[in-house]
Amino acid sequence: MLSLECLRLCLPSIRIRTGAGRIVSDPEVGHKRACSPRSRLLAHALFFEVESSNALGGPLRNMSATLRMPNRDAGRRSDPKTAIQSPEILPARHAALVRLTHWLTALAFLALLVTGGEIVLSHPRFYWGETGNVNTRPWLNLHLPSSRNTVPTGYGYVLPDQNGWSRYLHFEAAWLLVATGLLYVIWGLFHGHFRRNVFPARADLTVKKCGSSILSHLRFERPGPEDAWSYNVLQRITYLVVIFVLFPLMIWTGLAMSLAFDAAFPATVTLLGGHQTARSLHFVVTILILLFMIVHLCMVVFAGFLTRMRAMITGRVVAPRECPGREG
Amino acid sequence: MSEITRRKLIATGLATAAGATGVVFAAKLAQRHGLIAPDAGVRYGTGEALTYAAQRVLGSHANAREFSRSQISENPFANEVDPLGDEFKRLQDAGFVDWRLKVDGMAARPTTFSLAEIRSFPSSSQITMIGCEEGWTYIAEWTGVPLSYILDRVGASPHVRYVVYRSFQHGWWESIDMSDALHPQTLVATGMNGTDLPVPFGGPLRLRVARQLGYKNIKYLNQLTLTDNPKPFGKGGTGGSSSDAGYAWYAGI
Repeated sequence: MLSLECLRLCLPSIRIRTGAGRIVSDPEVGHKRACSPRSRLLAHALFFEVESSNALGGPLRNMSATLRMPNRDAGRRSDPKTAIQSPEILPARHAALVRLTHWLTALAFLALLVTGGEIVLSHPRFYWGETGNVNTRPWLNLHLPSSRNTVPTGYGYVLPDQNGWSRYLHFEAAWLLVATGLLYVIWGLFHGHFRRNVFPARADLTVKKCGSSILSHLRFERPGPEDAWSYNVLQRITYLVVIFVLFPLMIWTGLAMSLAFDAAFPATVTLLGGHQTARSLHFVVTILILLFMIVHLCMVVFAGFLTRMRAMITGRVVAPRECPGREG
Repeated sequence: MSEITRRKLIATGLATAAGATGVVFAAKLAQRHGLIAPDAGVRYGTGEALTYAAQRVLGSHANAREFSRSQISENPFANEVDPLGDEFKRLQDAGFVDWRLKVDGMAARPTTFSLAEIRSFPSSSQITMIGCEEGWTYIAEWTGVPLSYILDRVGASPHVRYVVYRSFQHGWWESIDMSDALHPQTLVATGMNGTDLPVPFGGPLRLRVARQLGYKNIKYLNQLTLTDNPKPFGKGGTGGSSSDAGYAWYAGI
């Protein structure tokens, strides 16, 4: 542990401004000017901004920093022991590619959600099997007004038809989503992103650990400082399901609704159980991803909107270095 | 954040140049092989261009799924069309004996066929699905003359790249590429589920394009025009009344 005063003495090149309960360091300057290994280490220790107003244990705790170097292969959350190997600049909380693909996915999903909703309005009923139409009994009727007068909705009016541009944009956004997803998954596999940051540690997959994580979420406990640097076990399981189950299902069920794609690859739709089943599942998975997105946004706000947004935009993290740094 | 080194800068520059060259090359290749959809230039047309090219590359000759007789929908649904007018009524009352299908454009022997002539041509049947862009579907057995037979019969030029087809209903027209026009499942349909094609489903003639959505399956077909460019037809320059109205020209998805 190093006191702030000690840091100030050892490392004059780092500008430390102390404001109303807020200490901000400038690691870029510190890193570039400090040349001795020791001072570079100290620069790492300061590669964060401290907000004492955050529920991180009060100002006193923020005044000290644990000197712990990031280790690219540090791996899982349950293994915080890392050795100081070679001093190098701290990796960003999220790798540049993760940040880029995150926002591209967000953009594509928003476009798909809006246009998908528009398309559903032209026939807000869902069926199982291959066929379904106005003369067929739906398993789900959204009871929404429709953009077509052929659908019995019970409403006395018909919404304007928006399917033309909606379908164009839906498929354009789908291409963006698939390209972004491929880039992310291939990059993630090659860089050990999933192994390190998304797959839960085996030691965390116990009933006790998962249970306590669920309980702390249910108690609305604010995320601890380690959560700024690493995903907790529930987060990891959720992201795994979203990345490797929900989005692939979304793309699969979407392709299964294409008559020409089904001609080339009939198993795409027959394995699902039919064209209308694919359409129904496409809708159900949309709702699941939408639920994820709502919880995701709530958690971001809950954990600290500005700090989490900054981490996903610039890669910087505002939190003490309690845990090993992680890439991506 | 890693530092920007000269090596990285050069590598990124080379990769960008290679990528840009690749895109230009792919576009030229797509142009040569007719993989550019006529409406590729409209707003959000990039997605449409990618979809069309990808589906043509992946499955140009693939057949639409065919179903068993037991899967035929008991209550198929037909979208309403605007009133067809007195002239249609007169033709319908006479049993469509005076219905004509005019075939013109880039053909050695432009011909106008009567309904009886078309019914006398070798026919084919298929049990396939109609899917509407709204999301609903039904399965029916369709009977008719393969469009490729009619193109042969009129002596289509080898330079034909699109078939423009029109409905009796004024202003309703579409076009398809040769991948669909010569496809064995593309029919000038005269029958449905073992009977003459009912009027609500497009009778007496409907162009059945099994791999594309309902709106490309034009009802009350009365004209085929063989061309190498569908854009000059219509006002929007996108190769169809649906695409002129803001719907994608290619409806395989």
